[in-house]
Amino acid sequence: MKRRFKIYCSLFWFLFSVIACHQASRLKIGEFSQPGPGFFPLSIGIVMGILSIIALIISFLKREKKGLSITTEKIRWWNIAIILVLIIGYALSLEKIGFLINTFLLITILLKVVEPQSWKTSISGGLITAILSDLVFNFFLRAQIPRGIFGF
Amino acid sequence: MEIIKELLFGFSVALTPMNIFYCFLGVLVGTLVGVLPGVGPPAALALLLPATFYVPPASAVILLAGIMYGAMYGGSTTSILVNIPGEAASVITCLDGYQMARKGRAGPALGISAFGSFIAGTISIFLLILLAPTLARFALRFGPPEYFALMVLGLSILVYLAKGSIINALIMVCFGLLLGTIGLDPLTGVPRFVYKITTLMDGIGLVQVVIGLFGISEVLLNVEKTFKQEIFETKIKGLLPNREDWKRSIGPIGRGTFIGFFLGVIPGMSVVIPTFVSYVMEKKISKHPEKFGTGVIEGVAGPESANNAASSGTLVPTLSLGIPTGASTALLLGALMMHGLRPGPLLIKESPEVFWGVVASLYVGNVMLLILNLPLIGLWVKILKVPYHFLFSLIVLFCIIGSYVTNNNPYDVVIMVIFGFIGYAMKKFDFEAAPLVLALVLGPMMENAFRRSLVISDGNLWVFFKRPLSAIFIVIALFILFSPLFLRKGRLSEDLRSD
Repeated sequence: MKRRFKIYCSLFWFLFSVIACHQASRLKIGEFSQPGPGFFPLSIGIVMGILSIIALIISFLKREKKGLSITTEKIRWWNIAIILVLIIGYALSLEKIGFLINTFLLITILLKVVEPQSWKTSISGGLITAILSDLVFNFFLRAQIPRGIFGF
Repeated sequence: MEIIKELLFGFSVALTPMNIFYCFLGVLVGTLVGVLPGVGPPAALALLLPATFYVPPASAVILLAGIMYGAMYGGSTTSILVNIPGEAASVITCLDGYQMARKGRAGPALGISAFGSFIAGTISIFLLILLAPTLARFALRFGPPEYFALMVLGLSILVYLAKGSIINALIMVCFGLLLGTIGLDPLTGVPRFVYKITTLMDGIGLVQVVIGLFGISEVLLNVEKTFKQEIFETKIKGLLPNREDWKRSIGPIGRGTFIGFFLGVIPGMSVVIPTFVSYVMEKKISKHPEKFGTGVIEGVAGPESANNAASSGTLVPTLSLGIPTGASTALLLGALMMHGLRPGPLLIKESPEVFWGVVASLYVGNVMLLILNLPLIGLWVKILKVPYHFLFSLIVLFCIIGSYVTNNNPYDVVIMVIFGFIGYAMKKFDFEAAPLVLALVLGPMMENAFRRSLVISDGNLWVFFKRPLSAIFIVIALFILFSPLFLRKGRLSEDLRSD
């Protein structure tokens, strides 16, 4: 990993530990003989802060190896963003739209957009997956996943 | 005599039609998980955990344990045939297993892997029977300081063994411990870091974290680049190893079994390390170490026996002390808690049907795997040929359902997505997920033990050194953590020298 990224990582964790300590200190800390709810998180936050400072010092001291980088291949950020947005959209609309339609839409879009397939493959893949998973989870396993306003 | 009576009772539990079905389902799903790269046993356990809500506790644990050791069998099949380790414990099998397949000896490699796993599984069950109840009786003497010290030791071992920087692993432990404090304080009931979000009241769900870190993050890593699927075609003939194969394998199987089991018992060791230890040992004691990596059967027999024995070994601290050894056993422990059981030294006494039922089911499952796996090898290879765009879509769907049905709460899915992205970033920046998961599970128990220790000692931190057992655990933990500073080839000094 590049030294620059290691420094960013250490700084991120240091910032995180500072926030954790600040938030923990808003709770009752108590004493050693009677520790309160904030005692443990505050202690861990302090340890984390010390560790991130050590990591930062190590990153500064260490010589960078030439030719090393996180990846040599171009990252398809678009795919990652689509998947994350689709999953959140699926979860938040599940109770209204229902399992069957939501699953059909999710699989169809995933197949069409992430590793592009033909419309025929995407739609049939979405349809088969939605019906089979509805059968498995709602019928056989009785998982009680919402059916939505359409009732299926 | 007492043990035989209890084992027979275990078989009466494990051999009911319902439990045979759950055992079969577990080993089948486990084998599938072992075959498929990208879905490890923790993610599979997390996905199936909600489905076990409606079954008795013994059946639930039988199913989940089946996934754990079933994955060991599945992983070896693809390592040998297509050089793709379905899960981490089978990585080392690729070295000689795949070379054997290339030389037309895929059959004996698969055969010895299955027989070795079966022998190791059988022996380790007996070791489990001997060790777990004894350890549970011994652990009844443990007070909060001993429990805290033991958990510190488990985390230290995991940190030491984590790949990459030891500091990064320690930061992950702290992150996991902090996540474990979210929700209601177990001693006072005060909400901590909840920010009026109802979903966070019960804390961050282990299922969502595990599915995110191990399932979603793996999908993200695979779709960020063009996925290449290459399958090497090989013919499988003669699955039964010949006399010479057996002669060369019996030693590695025996050594692999004991290495796997006893290393698996140590919290934090997981099932991966014993396979490497077994391989290195076989290479060291071999008269022809130079042949390792070119397709020698000892390189398959040892590690494959070790990973199966280790998966039984991990059950010892989980069932007798209530301390998980890794992400998979943490989920197993989660299943016990969800069914209202108290994992710990009293589990064997209070719920004998769970403990002895699971132990007997391990044997039933191993027999099933031996009968099932060899004829189904062709099917597993065909599954590997399923295009990845279909596989990842299904994995995403299962991840969503798995995290949703735990509480029927859509915001649990959002938490899973957040941890999916965190897991993805962690892999990019060389942070390992296992210390985080174990710390998240042990966090509430550790905090409880830590605070109780301080209360009973009137705030004296020396309480951890005054009690002999606790002092031994802490000293070993400190030695493990600081040894890199003194040893020449230490991890911390490695941090300073190179990546």
